Amino acid sequence: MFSLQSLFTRGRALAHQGRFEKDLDEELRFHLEMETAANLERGMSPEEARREALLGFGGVEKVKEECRDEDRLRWIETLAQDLRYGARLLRRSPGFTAAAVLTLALGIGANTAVFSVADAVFLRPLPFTEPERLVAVWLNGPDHSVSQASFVELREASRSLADVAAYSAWGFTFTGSGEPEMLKGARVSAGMFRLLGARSVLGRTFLPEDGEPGRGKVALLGNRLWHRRFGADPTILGKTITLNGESYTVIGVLQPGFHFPQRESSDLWLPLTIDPAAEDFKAGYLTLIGRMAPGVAAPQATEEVRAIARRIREREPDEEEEANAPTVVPLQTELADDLRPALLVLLAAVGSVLLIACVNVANLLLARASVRQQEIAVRLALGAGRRRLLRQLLTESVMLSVLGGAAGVLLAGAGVGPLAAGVTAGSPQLNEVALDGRILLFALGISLAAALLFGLVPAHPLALVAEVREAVWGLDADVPISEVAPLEEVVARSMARPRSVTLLLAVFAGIALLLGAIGIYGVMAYSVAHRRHEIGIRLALGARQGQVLRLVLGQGLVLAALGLAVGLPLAAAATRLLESLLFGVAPTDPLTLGGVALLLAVVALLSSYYPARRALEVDPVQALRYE
Amino acid sequence: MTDDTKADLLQGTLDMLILKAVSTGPVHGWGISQRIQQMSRDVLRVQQGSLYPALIRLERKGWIGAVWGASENNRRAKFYGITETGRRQLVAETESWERLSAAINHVLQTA
Repeated sequence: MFSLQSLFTRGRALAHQGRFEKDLDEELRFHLEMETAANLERGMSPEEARREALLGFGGVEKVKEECRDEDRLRWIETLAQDLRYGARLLRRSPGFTAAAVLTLALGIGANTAVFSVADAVFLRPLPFTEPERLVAVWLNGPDHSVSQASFVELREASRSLADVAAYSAWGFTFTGSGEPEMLKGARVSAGMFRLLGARSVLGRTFLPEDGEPGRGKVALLGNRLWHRRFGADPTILGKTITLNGESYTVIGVLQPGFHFPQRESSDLWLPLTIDPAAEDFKAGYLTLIGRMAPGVAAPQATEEVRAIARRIREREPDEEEEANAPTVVPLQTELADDLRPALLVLLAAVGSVLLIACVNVANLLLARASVRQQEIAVRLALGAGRRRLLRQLLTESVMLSVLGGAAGVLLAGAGVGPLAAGVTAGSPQLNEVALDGRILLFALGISLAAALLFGLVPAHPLALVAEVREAVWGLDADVPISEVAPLEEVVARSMARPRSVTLLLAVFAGIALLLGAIGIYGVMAYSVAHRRHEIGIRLALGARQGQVLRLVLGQGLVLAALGLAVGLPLAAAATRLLESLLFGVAPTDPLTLGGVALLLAVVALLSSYYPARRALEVDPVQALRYE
Repeated sequence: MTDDTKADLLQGTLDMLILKAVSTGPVHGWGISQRIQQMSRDVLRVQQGSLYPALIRLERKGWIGAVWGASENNRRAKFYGITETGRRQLVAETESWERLSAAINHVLQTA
């Protein structure tokens, strides 16, 4: 956190420095001019007067340097003061601090976790040798599998692709030592490990012979499986394991961290048997990857692959493969494109969660603002500068958000594993998702942005109330977008992901709904509590308690109805947008929308009811006297 | 007396003179150097350059405050004034200076 804090400090210092230098220049220039004028009056020539003034002053640059040193000290002391003051305020109201920090931690944590996955998917290169040369080869068009026959022919014929490998993701039931277990892996062509640049730490990887008919009873273990199920047994080579009821001899163990095609969860690999006599030789069930020859770009490779595909189809028009336009796509683009809609939707969802979190913290600050306003007025009267006060308020917000950010990073650290598994489930290997320096920088960035967003609220409490209320309702109504519809298993590869993405959306939406409900409670309770004076007057004038209660509740309901009137159409629109982006999201579900609307209305009612009850319990005379 | 304590003494003295100079009303930096010179009947001449770091230091301690305003010749200038803590500090420093100089006088006159 230290380097992050120093970054914040440096930004603040830079803004300060510009102004300081300008002022110092002007002040010293003024001094020299006054001294020169005085010298002229003593009868010196203009040149002499100027020279004497400079001489009496000593070196201007040296003076400036000394002034800068003093100013830096002053600046550090002021910052330390602000921090101490902020810390005292936060300690003085631990409930407020805990609520704000927790709320921000949820918002920042969710964003950090999703961003770290997005970072691994879009921004970092794939963890293979020369990843920029790796491509997905769609001989029958995107998302269509390829037969052994086509694979073999393409591998022989292609010049732009230095190497082509085929795989078919597979699940294996592992029996034998210990409990039976479902393992994930693939049948792969012998060249796949060389193509990706993966090595074995024990034994060897596959040789072309392993793929010959009648020989393929060998297996390669993933490093993690080797540790987990076999205690990293160094004598594992040559032992047999039972997969799907058949025996395989272990011939090697892969290097740590290598996973393909599953993301971070490939357990083992069997050789793909290439058998021209087999029934399924011309059946499409393989996925191809390639390594482009040096200097070749994807469009060139696509052109060549199209020519080869045309030849195959002309010769064998009855091939059991669908004929779509062949294409060669950089592997990273292929994997990222696949995940892009899901990640964008999640980013939007957690962005909303953070916005709601900010609105909630703004609410909390607002609830305290009446107390603070008195304090601020007193301090202004005592001569504190407005700029200084504003800076102190901001320092407090930044402290809150940095604390929230730190807690959020911890949350993200705990949640990022399951999140990454959920988002990228079923898609080929990607980078390890990790919370590194850049992710921390991102967390700091959004923490500071959040601090700005909610931090200036105490400075302008009244103008922000209406806005804040609208924001809460508007965002909240988006919540039902998360509804999950039963998903038909159309494409095996994309089976797992939409389901887990919608599940994640449901989790984020749940957090958003909770924060939103708390936020609405805060705003309503705050505004009703503010009406104690008015309620006191009504009671003093003879209104009955029931009447007053009905009045306050009625107004709360009108507000709730207005919010829902704005929010529900937004939610419907958002769902339609989601439908187009995410496979498997159901059209607007009236039951869900109705349920959420009812829940929020109940929250609104309760949050008017309790403060109103409390206001009614107070003796009217006393309520009036206290104001 | 080591060099360090000598520097402290000098700095403390300059601080006291500046506080005195601004205690009679807001004045800009050049004005402070003139006032000190006048009040000392031309005996003390502040090294004008060392005035400005000292002003920032006193501001930092909260003994003086600064605002921008118009000078006697209608130029933009930074004016310094004494604060309540500054006034208390001036009283305390004046007392301790008087004690010190009385003691030194006493030493010099005993012989």
